[in-house]
Amino acid sequence: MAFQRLTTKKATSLTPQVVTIVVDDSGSMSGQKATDATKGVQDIIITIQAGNQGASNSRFFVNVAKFGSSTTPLVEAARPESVSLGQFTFTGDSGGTEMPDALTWAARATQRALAECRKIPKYIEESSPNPLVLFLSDGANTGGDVTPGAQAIKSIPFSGGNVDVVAVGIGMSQSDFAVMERIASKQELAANIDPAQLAEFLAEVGATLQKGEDAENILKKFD
Amino acid sequence: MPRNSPYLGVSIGKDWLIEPADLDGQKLFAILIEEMLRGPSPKCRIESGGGDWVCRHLVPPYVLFEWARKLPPPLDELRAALNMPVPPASWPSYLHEDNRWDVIRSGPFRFAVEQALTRGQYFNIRTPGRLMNVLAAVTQTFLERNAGKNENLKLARALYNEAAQHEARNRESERARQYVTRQYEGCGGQPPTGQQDNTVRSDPSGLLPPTEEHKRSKPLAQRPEPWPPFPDRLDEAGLSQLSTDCYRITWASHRGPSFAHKEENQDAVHVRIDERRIYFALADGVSTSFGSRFAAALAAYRYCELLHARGSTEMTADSAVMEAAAETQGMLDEMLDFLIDNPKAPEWNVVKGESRLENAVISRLVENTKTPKNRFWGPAFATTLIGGVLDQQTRTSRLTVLRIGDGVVERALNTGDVVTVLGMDPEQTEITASMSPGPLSAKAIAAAKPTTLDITHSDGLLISSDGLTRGTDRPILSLLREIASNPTIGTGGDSSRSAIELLRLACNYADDQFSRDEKRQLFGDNLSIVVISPIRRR
Repeated sequence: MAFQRLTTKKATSLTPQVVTIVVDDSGSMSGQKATDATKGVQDIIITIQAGNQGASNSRFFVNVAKFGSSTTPLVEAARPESVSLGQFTFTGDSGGTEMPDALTWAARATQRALAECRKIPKYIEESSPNPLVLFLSDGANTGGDVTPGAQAIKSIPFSGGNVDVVAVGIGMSQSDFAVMERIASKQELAANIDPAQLAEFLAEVGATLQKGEDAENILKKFD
Repeated sequence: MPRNSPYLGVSIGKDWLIEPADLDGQKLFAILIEEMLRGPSPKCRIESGGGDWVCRHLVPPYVLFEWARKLPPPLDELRAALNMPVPPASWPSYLHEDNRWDVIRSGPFRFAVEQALTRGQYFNIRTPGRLMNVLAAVTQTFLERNAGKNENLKLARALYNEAAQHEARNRESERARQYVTRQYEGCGGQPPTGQQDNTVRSDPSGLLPPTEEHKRSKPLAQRPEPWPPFPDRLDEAGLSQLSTDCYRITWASHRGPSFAHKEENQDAVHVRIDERRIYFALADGVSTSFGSRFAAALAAYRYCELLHARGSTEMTADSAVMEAAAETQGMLDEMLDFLIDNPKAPEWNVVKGESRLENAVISRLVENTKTPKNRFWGPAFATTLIGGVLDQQTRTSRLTVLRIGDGVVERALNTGDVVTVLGMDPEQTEITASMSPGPLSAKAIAAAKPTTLDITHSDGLLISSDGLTRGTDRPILSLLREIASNPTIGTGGDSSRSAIELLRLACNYADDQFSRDEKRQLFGDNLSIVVISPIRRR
């Protein structure tokens, strides 16, 4: 079969990519932002599922959770073909914005998915694309310090490189946004986007995964 | 054809009356056999065994076969002549001799012809030659004296149920189409074709004007025909080999080496020949596109058949390869419309292949193909296509080839050297064009340009998908020669292997290399080739 683009680190059956998406579902997300998040995450899942076609093993492993006062895992270490679009619905009714708990879950889920990858015979970790954690929030952190959770993700051992954490504020105030810069694995992977750009941003995430491009490319258009 | 496939074809001597790949022909054949075995009256009914009664009432298959090859009668003439006391003068002498005509036109043969004329439409058999060959297969069946060895009868029985279902489905579609047409005629409007007003009216009398609600609806799209012979495919079964006066052609498609973990084969190849031309098409389904295995099979089959049909016209090869591509893309459009309009059609199971996508996802990908909204999702049913014609002329052979997306053509010189005619550009690996439904593909196909090349009769050709270029930048023919320890591949050595053997050897070699070093990932994709080798004269 033909392929879309050759990169040195494309997700394949032997070099699968771990994708973790953490979505703020607190009260402030209700309305259009929750609608856009639902459509955007579903579109990412479709892109991943489409990109997984034709392979007898999975090219991706997926984690998705929503968080508010607590974190609700939607899928963990899942093969794309096993998830259903209906699982990803955000309504903005999950209470506060407890970021540390969500980050702790993201670290655990990413490690679990990597463990699944390592079970694949002939898995080539050093040739696999970096695991991607996408953290989305629109409000002030109502929990404690995010540093331990963020550090737990960044310190996950990955011989192919490191875990990329993209932290995106959705119309955050500048003072609240500082926390996103601490969560991101690099400064350039933190961005504060206009809520109207949320759907476009999530589409860009899907395209980046499909093309096997670096995480930095996701944010280029949103600087 | 896979060993367990019921589609074995019907032959006469070394020629095919109905080729194994002609599924429609075999199904009509099965229907006719069954009808004649249980005919409505003793006059029409027949039993196998080749007794005198049978011989006197049937036209021998060789007569029909020759008639089909030379100048078969138009279908209207055939229908009309059944009621004439004397057959037309241009018809075979066998029918004129010994006062046979009266016996033939009043017995089971007449019944078979009438049935074939009426029911051929449901199997897309509308040309006299094809119809005549099916009739030849029928009479051959009943003239076989040894019932135990009657392979035709076994074939007919194996296929009958499937054929009856196929006919019922198409009969229903035709009935619906005629109903819609009548509605238009009833109100003096236009039939529902092209861009005309596709209004369906619920008033069976056809007298009431359409309501606004009805104007918004449109008739359901029909299944495009001919539907490809799928999933039974010659290219995957290793039985694909043909010869012309000048060339031996072998072709095959393979899932690829084990290490690549390809879930299914999304490549397809089809080849046809006539007196002096070889028509070929190789399609490579885009792996991330829904339905690409089916799309590749449809595109390769349809494109090659369309080229073959144009071979007997005055059309230039350049025009033929372009027109056939546009028409193939049109069929993909029709297929998409049909599937969208008929979400419960059994054809969905065929086009889905091994896909595990849920219906909601498939639906969104398919809708996005018809009307692109999410620019990051590629079209469904996308495939590359490389196809063309090799026309044997007096001193040379002219290759005309069209490439949409990627694919490789190599020329094997009689010196043993290999020249790349169309290669893969390692710097440009993104597919910039594909054959798929939807407006983007139509535009890409219109912009494609054919390549023309004259080769000597002692040169050979290799057409390949990109699979055999993975992990290497060497010419494919050179690699295959090395792997098969046969330097004559492509140049017509007597020891040339079949295409499927070559692909199996390549897969084994690639898996062996991978087992030694995981970084040596050679040929990590589906693999397909067409090898056209000159026949060496002693």
